[in-house]
Amino acid sequence: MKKAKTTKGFSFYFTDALMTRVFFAVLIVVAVLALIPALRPKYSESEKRELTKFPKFSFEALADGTYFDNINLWYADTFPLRDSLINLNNVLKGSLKVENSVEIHGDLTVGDDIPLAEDNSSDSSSSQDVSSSETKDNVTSSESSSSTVTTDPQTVETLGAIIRVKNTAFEYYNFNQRISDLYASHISYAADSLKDYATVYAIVPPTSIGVMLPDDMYDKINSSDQKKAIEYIYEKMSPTVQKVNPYKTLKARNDEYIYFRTDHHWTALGAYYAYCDLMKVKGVTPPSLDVFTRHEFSGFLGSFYRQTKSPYLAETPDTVLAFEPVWTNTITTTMGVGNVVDKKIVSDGNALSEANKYLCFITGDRPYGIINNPNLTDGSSCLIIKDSFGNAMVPYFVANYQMVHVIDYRHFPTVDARKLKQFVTENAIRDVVFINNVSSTRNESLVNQIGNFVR
Amino acid sequence: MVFSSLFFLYLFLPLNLICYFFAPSLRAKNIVMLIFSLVFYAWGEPVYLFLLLGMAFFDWIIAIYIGKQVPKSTGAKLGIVMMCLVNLGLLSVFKYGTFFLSNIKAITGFPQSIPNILLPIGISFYTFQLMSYVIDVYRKETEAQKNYFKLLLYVSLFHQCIAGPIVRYKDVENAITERSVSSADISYGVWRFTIGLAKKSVLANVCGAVADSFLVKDSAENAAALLEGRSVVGVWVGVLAYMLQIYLDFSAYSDMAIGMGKMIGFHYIENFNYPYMSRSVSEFWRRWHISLGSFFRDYLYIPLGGNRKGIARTIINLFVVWFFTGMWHGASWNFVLWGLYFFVFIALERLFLSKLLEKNKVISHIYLLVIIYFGWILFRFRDMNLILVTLKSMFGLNGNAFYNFETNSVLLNNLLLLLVSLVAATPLLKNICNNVKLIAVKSSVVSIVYSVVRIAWPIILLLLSTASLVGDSYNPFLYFQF
Repeated sequence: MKKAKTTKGFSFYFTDALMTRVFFAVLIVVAVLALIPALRPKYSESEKRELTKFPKFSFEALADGTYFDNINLWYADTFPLRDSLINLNNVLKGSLKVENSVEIHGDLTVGDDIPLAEDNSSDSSSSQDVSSSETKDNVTSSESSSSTVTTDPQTVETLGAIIRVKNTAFEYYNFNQRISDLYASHISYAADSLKDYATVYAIVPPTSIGVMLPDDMYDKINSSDQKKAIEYIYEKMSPTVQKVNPYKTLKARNDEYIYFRTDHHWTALGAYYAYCDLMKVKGVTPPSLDVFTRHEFSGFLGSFYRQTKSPYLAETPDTVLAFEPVWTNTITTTMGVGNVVDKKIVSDGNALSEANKYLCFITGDRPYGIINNPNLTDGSSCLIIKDSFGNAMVPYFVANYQMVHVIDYRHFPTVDARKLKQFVTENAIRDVVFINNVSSTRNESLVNQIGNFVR
Repeated sequence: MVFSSLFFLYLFLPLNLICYFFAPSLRAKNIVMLIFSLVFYAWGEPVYLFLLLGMAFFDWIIAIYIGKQVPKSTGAKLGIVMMCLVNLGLLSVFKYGTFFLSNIKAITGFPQSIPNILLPIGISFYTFQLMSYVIDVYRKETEAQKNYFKLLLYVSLFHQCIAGPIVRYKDVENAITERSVSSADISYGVWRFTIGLAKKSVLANVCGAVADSFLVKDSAENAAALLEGRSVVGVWVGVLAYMLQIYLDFSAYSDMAIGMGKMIGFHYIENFNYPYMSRSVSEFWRRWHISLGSFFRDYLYIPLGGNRKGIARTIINLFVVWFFTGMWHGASWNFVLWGLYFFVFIALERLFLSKLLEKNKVISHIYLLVIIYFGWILFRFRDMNLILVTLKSMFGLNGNAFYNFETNSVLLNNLLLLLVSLVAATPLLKNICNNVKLIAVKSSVVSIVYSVVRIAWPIILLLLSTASLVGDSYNPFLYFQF
């Protein structure tokens, strides 16, 4: 072997030889350690998830390459000291960041200007069909879901752009005037067509970015003003719609735990305040929270965490508060495949995985559910037409209604062909409550699904 | 399989090196390399392995046939035509089939359904390697290889088979039959490999994430609307990040290939020589993907007559070369446009521009950077509309903001790593390292520091890369699509 010599004759031969040996030694030692099954983690504490399992062999998977891909994935995912290496990576990358408290994830869409609510020239009873507008916006939002019902409804959602501020994440909201108009027209149509049978209430809950983000920050970022947007949508609705705007109530209470930090939903407390606003509009005294059985399920890392994988969120998981109705805790649920089973209105969140604790409310987004409060015999009944924001609010309705019908408009048509009017008349429903968070009102496919159900 | 994966790094490579160093003879070592290479290829493309084996077999036969013919005879020419038809034919089908058919459909309406042909990994690289081998046999620059497996080893060697450098057979012919490896080669190989690994897994991936966040992922559904809303500064920084990503990513792959080659006595040609330091487009292409540029020079430009047949013919030849160089990068018009974009500047430089550029080093450097910078926009988007939207957003013509909170946030999150990436695209660190070594020769204190750093550095890079690879799911190798 030749010696590597510099021009001056001085040799770093031993340095280089040692470098080579140290490198190969480290490489081989790690390689051997990585082959010891006991050193391979099965669960990631920092990411709160089960790690990939070794793939099952099949000739099909072998031929199309997925078998080997999955071995690679397994090998990387269960690498020894995974959590420590991830922490090291986060610490190193974190220390290289000039500013670490705010991060943007995902693709940000800039919203339309929101016309002032008073300026509406167009008639608010615009319940004629405007769903045939040609321009199509593909807006991703928290509630965009596939038309097929999966067993785990939370995992189908994709969020739009997310901003993380310290240990709290928020989904951006971009106002879309055309789709907002469309949404308002559908609700108006529902109210007008049910005029002789039932009262239609509309609740458009703001999302956390509109309520919880400090104003000075909200002014800087490219997210539309939710207060204005919700007011605009209500202004566009027919006078027959009873509008419930929980924005002010929630904003005034934004020092309380009313929205999750790692998930895009509100907490049961936020849902309760909105429920009180609804009862106020209805002229009924809402039940006190004390009459419910209170549960706390800690260790929740929701959709924001799943989307961002931010260690800052993982450090401080959410706690799911749930208020179980004492009169009954049973909701007779029609599942995605059409079978009917009794489920719990509030189930044990501790039994759910970290990512899915919000499913403790009515077991998530099922097509249809019905609750019968045996303590009431007044024949009162309501229909809740909701997205997942409604789930946390359902338990409170049990206090005020003998029969509570819950329809997830996104999944109901797969199990039942009835439209809104037929459903309301057949079940002698008096109150119809639409609960769709403001993020859903910018999503054309969701708004069209509402239209299909109400018209 | 990609080099920047934990599976490769801590299982495939150590196993390969152990088997290699314990193999008793050169023949055994070659068998080890061949088996590992075939497994490496099959790991990503089990079925297409047969295409690789078949093409190598065909070219092995045809080269032997051509080798037996009288130079430039009809038989030899027939052989070379056959070779081109088969190799380019297969490349056309597998790489450009869908593209050709969809263009034909756009014009004539037929065929109604277009088969979706999956691109075999590395086909652009190994087809060119095989073609260069047969042409070199035809030109009597090398002898036809009698042993199929040796030819197969050349073309399938996992170091360079799927993402270059496009190694010439005559450059590694001797190494296949007899090679020695010095201690200095191995340590250089280790050094080079770890630098490539870190460049890819630490820096290129960060640049890629910044580029995606400002420029929108190519696959985003509403990409045009998203791009229209990006701030002016955001788009400019996004293109810069993409420019850094693509260099760091691709040159890292070559670094790793060259490093692994050195470890076992193969000396592959350099593929990148700090291309962003160039002062003309012609120079850029002598420093960027050198093995591709020299392939087109030796096997297309010069056979067409090069610059020996007058200025008009030279320009036509350049046009042909740059049309195909663009085309090589992908089955899409934007790549052709990208190639022809360089043709325009190279032709202008030939005609008069290079004389002007020689006068001022600073201006010529800025000129080159601006051209390359805008070139990457053509390269990034297959959809022509997105190219236009990006250009408009760069000048605020979409009613987009100049700067906004989100831009500020992404910038501050990534500023330091972008600066490190910028430095990594220049020879600054290499020069510092060389100078310290020169000082270390004279001063014992410096020599100790130098030695400690020299020994620790590959381990530090390995650790950083490992942490990045474990933590980041984002890990595309850009040049796999070619």
